[in-house]
Amino acid sequence: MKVRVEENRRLSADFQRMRVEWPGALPEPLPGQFVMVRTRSSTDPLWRRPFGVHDFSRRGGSASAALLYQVVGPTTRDLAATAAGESIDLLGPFGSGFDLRGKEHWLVAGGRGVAPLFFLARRLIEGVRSLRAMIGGCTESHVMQVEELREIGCPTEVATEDGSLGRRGMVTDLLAGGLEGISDERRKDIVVSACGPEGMLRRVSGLASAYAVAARLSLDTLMACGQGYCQGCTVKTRSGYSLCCREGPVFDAEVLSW
Amino acid sequence: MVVPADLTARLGPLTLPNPVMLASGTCAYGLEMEPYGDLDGIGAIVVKGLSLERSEGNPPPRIVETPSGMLNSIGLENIGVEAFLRDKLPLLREKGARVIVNIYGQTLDEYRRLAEILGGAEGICALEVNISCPNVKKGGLLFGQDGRETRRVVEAVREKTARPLLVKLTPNVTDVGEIARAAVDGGADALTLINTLQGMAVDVESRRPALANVLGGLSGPAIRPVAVRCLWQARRAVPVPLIGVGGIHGARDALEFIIAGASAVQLGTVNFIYPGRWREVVEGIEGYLQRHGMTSLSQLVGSLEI
Ligand SMILES: Cc1cc2nc3c(=O)[nH]c(=O)nc-3n(C[C@H](O)[C@H](O)[C@H](O)COP(=O)(O)OP(=O)(O)OC[C@H]3O[C@@H](n4cnc5c(N)ncnc54)[C@H](O)[C@@H]3O)c2cc1C
Ligand SMILES: Cc1cc2nc3c(=O)[nH]c(=O)nc-3n(C[C@H](O)[C@H](O)[C@H](O)COP(=O)(O)O)c2cc1C
Ligand code: FES
Repeated sequence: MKVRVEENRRLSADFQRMRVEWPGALPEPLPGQFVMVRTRSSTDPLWRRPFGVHDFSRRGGSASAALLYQVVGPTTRDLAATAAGESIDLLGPFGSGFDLRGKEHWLVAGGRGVAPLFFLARRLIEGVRSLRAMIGGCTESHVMQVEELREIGCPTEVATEDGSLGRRGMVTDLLAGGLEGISDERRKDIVVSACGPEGMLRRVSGLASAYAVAARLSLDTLMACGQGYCQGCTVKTRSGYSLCCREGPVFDAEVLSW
Repeated sequence: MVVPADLTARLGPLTLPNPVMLASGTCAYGLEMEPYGDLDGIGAIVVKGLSLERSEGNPPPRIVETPSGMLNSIGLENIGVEAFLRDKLPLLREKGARVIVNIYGQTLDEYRRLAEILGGAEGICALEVNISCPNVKKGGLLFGQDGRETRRVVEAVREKTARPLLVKLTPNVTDVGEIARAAVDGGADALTLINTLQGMAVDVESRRPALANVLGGLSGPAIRPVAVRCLWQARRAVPVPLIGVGGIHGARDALEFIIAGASAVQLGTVNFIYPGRWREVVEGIEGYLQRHGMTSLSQLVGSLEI
């Protein structure tokens, strides 16, 4: 489906944010869900590419969604070159969302993983849940949306591997420190929602099980269709294979068999 | 005034209101396609290849994108024939979908039992026998790459069912015509061609195969010329109706197959990218017939001039 680009802004050397109109024919997205985007009519690249819904809002009778993307290849380069008023081809929303239940939410993002977590933060704040965010990246230019998170009222800590912004280290160090400093009683109330590179998610999963907190992880697999047709995006869980695009992309850390 | 063209596809004992089907393994169990159009508008839906027992399939990574194509090594993951009949078929029937069941076995006996079980089920319009999947080590490839084995599988299924029988051929052979003749000798009513081409891709950074299974099946626009060639070779080898599949992205591509001799076509990989494309292909074929002053699809089938 063709949707009109309303705004496309460069945020850093390789990150951009795009706002697109959200047609009434599409269901309203949930935090954690994604869309499948195509920028060319040629058959190369062949597949659509998945992007998490970064934000969603309604104004009067119309709605719009935001995508936050890191420019890494042909589709994201095309997106970066798309001007307001032009359109992109988008299907969705697909997949399962994050868990909005729970008393206290900790959002943990690595690099472009902040994309779906910002939308989650917005919904959680509307529901007046207690929350905090921990954002990490290799360097300052990969740490996105920190001010925006603080603006909507989400306390946000930052870590970079080279120390160029916030604490030097990994975002999982922030998580470990946070979990260490609180009582067993409080840990029971915490839901960790995380999105980022696989190595980071594995560490989040390890910490969640060590401290006995619930964790929901948004995984990144290659996807040909994004909607359950190809069975290509399988993830190994304790009960067998699951499709990342249907049962996921958000999974309970404890069902994954890594 | 434009006269509506007759799009009826005649496949021996099987007649479909239009010639555009969805290919096995590219539309799950069909129900998943509903958001993109009423299922009864599709010529027929060929559901994911079914085996006797449910099958987990291959470990990930199972897919990789290639130039104008993709490799897959799904490994025939499926819910099993009983679960299909119980959980999926009733819903498909309710929606008015014409359902073709694609089957595969590891042994002749498994093919026989599948044919028996499906032979008795209401609401299936044909069986498509997959003797051509390159992914399961002991299965398809062996049967479909050998004329005698092909004939034995088709005979085994034919003995157990009176339903319209389609046999799906692999391009990974030296002589497609020979296998086509064997399938027809075994009792096939029509042939579907092609299944995926065997391929391989290497991740140069990790120096590992891109697919966990090492080898996979190539599909998508990249294989279309090979598929049209196979269809044409089968056309010259056997008299039964043929179904063309491989890299169809739009109506123009479907027309290539039809002109080369296909009575119907299947859309595969394109469903992943444009899930509603089948409708445009139906309309495009109809428009073509009208533009060329033809009143029915059968006038176009095999109209290739050399
Ligand atoms: C559910 C989901 C949500 C996503 N949300 C976002 C988002 O909000 N913002 C964002 O920037 N990105 C997101 N991504 C990632 C994004 O879809 C990919 O980066 C996409 O491949 C970019 O397309 P491209 O054509 O620009 O580059 P491509 O050419 O596709 O990719 C560039 C490079 O990355 C490699 N690559 C891409 N994906 C993978 C993978 N899964 N495993 C291994 N290598 C890979 C390619 O091989 C290539 O070398 C998401 C992915 C998933 C699965
Ligand atoms: C992900 C995937 C799964 C497939 N699964 C099956 C299957 O279960 N049975 C079968 O006969 N063919 C299967 N095929 C082959 C397709 O039905 C079709 O023959 C092939 O992909 C070529 O057509 P295309 O280029 O339009 O995709 C599969 C193809 C793909 C891409
Ligand atoms: S991407 Fe095709 S089934 Fe998940």
